[in-house]
Amino acid sequence: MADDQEGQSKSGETADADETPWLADDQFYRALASTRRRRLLSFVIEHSDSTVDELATVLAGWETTETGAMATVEDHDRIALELVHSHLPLLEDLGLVEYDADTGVVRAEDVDAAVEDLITRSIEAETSQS
Amino acid sequence: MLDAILEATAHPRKQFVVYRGADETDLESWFARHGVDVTHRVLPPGGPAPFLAIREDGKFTGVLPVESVEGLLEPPIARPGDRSDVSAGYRALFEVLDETTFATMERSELLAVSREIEDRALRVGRGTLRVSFQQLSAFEPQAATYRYLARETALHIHVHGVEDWTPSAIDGVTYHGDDDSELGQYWTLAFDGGGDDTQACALLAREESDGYQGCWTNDPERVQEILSALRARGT
Repeated sequence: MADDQEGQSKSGETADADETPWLADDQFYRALASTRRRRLLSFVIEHSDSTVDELATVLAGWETTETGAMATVEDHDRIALELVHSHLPLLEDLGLVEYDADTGVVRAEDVDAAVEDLITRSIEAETSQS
Repeated sequence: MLDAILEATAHPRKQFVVYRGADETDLESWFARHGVDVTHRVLPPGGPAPFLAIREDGKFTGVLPVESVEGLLEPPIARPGDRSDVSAGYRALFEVLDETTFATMERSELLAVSREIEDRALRVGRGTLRVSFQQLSAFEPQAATYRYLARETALHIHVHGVEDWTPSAIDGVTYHGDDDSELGQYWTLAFDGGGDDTQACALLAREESDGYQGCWTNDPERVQEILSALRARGT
């Protein structure tokens, strides 16, 4: 990723900061400091029609690929609760996702390529680690 | 009775979604071949190995890695005997994995499945085998096969069918003539496994205007249901 550093110094730091306000925001890094939130973001970036119910399924399913065991209804519901009370409000406050509490629909807000790339790379790094 | 069993095998309440990368998994083609409806959703690039989500009546029931499901399909197929203490997800999954439903099937295909069930009964050599070829007269071309089965094994063989012909007596084979029209629509074989649940299997096919619809199953409970339904007809 030496290319990125080069590109940054050429285009100037101010311009980059305007395009990607998130990258200079401490809160953004706090949002990404959770495996479940990074996975959630990577999924909603791919799918604009997901729901809390599906995201809990995806996160539970993702974790079963590490344990090999079936995730139960209790596992799913615990994650769904955590999504509604913690992860989604945090990501919504930051303007990364849009969440409709009535329908349960979750959408990714428009994020620029740098943010998307960062999330994708964090997912890839995780997979190559295991 | 057989109608109700057939309806229960269609699993209309279950939905399956495979989460995966761009490539179709072997499990999806297995499901398609076995008459199970399955959809898929694509995971983000660099995401995890594929997993299968199971829903019943639109509600989450369980999720597990596709690799684990494929492991369950490889012989030896072992299932917990008592399913009351497995989670809802496994219960739903076993019901589907042990049963193949079909919407239209030709006589030649049904014959092939029938041969497989008879073969299994022959190999095990004991237990109960109940068959119904719609009309008793349809048993005529099968008589030699069953004469051999009865001679070579300790099987209890029961042949059911609408009584339109009088078959010749075979030692070890009991005939049950019936005048019921429900039975006349059904091509059924059920073998109880002879004390070994993993050997239990059954075919339940109903004749429709465009072929046969039904299922074959390795689920010992379902096999027992079919055996009981046939036994209840026995006269």
